[in-house]
Amino acid sequence: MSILAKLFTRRKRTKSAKIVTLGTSGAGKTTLIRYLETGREVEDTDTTLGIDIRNKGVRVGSWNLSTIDVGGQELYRNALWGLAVTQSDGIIYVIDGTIRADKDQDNFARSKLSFEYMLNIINGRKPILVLVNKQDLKYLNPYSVEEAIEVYQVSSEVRNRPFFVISGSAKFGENIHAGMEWLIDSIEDIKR
Amino acid sequence: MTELQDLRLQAYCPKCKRTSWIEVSMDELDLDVNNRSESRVPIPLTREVSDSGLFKRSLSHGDHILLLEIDKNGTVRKEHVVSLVSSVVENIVTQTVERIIQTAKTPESDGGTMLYASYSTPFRNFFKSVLSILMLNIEDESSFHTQIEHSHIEIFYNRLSIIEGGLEKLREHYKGKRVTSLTIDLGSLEESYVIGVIKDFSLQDSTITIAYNSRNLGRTPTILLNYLIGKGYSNISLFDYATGQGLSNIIEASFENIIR
Repeated sequence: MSILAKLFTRRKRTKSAKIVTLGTSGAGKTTLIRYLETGREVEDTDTTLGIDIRNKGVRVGSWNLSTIDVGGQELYRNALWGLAVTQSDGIIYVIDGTIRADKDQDNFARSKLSFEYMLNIINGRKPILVLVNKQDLKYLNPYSVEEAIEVYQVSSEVRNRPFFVISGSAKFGENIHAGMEWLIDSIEDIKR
Repeated sequence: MTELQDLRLQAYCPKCKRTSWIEVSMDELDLDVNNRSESRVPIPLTREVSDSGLFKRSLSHGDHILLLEIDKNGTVRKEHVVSLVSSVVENIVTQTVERIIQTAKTPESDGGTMLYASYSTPFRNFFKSVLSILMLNIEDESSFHTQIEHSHIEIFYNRLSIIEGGLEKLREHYKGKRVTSLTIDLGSLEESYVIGVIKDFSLQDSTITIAYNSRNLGRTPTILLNYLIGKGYSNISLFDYATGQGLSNIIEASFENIIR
């Protein structure tokens, strides 16, 4: 085999990583995983009441991704998020963008608490992709990236960790590709 | 004009044996003001008013709903209790039957052997219900047969085998044989005991699902989960069926490897 062919083979070699989706219940974590698995619009999904670890169901470029989907209810957050984060190379934190501080204070407080909980359990420099989800529900005036960064105080909370905030729709896959590319590049940088 | 006041009614829940007060707001009920005489209790008119003149109100009581039928005089005439768990489970039974039929009929499906190790009555009853409904919906009986014994239920449909029974029983029959999915209802079993038993199964590339009831167990069983992760199994799930809804997660996960 020529040197070029060897290089080409090496470049094409499939790499693998584990990603975990976190966020409050109903934020769209399972929907995002289903979209990543199928590349198609996602119908309604069941609430995840526990944890679901799937091996290499998601392909992004030359990467095979295993996914860890964890329920967002407090019961599962306390018992399973830490375990899920330990097992993962990268985190996707899904925010329900339609839960606004000015309209639904209680749910927003829960959502922010959940975000802070996630940051507290992440050790090291695992990349965090924050998806401000449900942009397809325009009539509910979902947060933009700028608004979410401000109300969730992302810049100060995330501190020295690699993070990237996108807005999009897990249901329709809007803007998801850009976020996944960033996540994969960040995981590759850390693994290198 | 006399101002209409909210009706305050006492309701007894036969399920949780407690009495509570409900307020029936005039605005909410859209009273038939034109037909009202000031001397009598206003007649509440809602979409729920039946021919008998009774209207319905519901109260959420955690895992059940108290349904009240109230007459024109504001007296609670009947109380019904609707179990949320039962109605959720009924839906999941139907979904499971549809899933089995769809899977058995899909030409691309390689079929497979799906084991469900159960220790709790609700979980076993769930499978009995699935089987009952399935038998009513099977069109081609030549490719379908079942075996029901005290200790286990077996369903064979085309290339799909679904076996429900105790973990020991399943180990006895499937030791070393390849299974597509293994679902274990933890019930009151010690996780260390389950770890000892499942070592005898051939689970490479299988989907392994741990089902548990957080209300009965009082915690999330992570020892077994950690063991399975540590062993490098590909597809592992842990789902809580305390509310019934988790059964849907469990069934979906167990079918994951059947149709790709």
